Amino acid sequence: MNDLGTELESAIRSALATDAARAPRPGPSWDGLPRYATSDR
Amino acid sequence: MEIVTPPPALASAVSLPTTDVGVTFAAFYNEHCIAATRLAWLLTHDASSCEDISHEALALILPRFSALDDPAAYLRRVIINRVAERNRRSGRERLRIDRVSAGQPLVEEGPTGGLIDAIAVLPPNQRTAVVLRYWVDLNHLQIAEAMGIRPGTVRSLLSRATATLRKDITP
Repeated sequence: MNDLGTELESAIRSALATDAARAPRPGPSWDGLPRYATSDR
Repeated sequence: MEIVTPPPALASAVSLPTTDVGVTFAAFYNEHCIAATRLAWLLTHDASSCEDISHEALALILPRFSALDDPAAYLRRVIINRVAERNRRSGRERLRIDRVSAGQPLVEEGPTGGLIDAIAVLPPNQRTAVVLRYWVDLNHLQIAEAMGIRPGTVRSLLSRATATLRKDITP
């Protein structure tokens, strides 16, 4: 992929990560303990 | 901080199913609940319903969890289908695009960036493909399975989407 494609991909990934972080955050884990996500996608 | 507890039907389950690899549904729920909500958010930009969609999808998985080879893939597919059903029912997709096109923020809190808005107003299928490719990091075949379309269609959707988005970062 050319430089523009790489730059575009990077910009899209960054924009989506920023947008996803604005999602409402779910509450406690299943068992009520604090949740530390092992994966965010 | 807003506290959201699992739906009663989930929390009260006496016996949680286990997959062949020994992953309990509780562990799966804890690991994927945030990602599921974020996926629903990226596809709807509706704070009031993205949690409902993710919890409904997780609730749907519970009774069949043991039989699923790839519960995370199934979860994504259910969320994508739920979002599509919701859009068809309510016409909210049109309202959402109108709002962005009119320069109004998608959410009350926090600024939106140019590329974020550009992704948000892509046609739903293009936006879904972009989110699955560049946020979930799926390959074309996995995206095709998640969306129930052919890999060639995925390539076409991504090609059109990136052509549109390229204008946003090209001086």
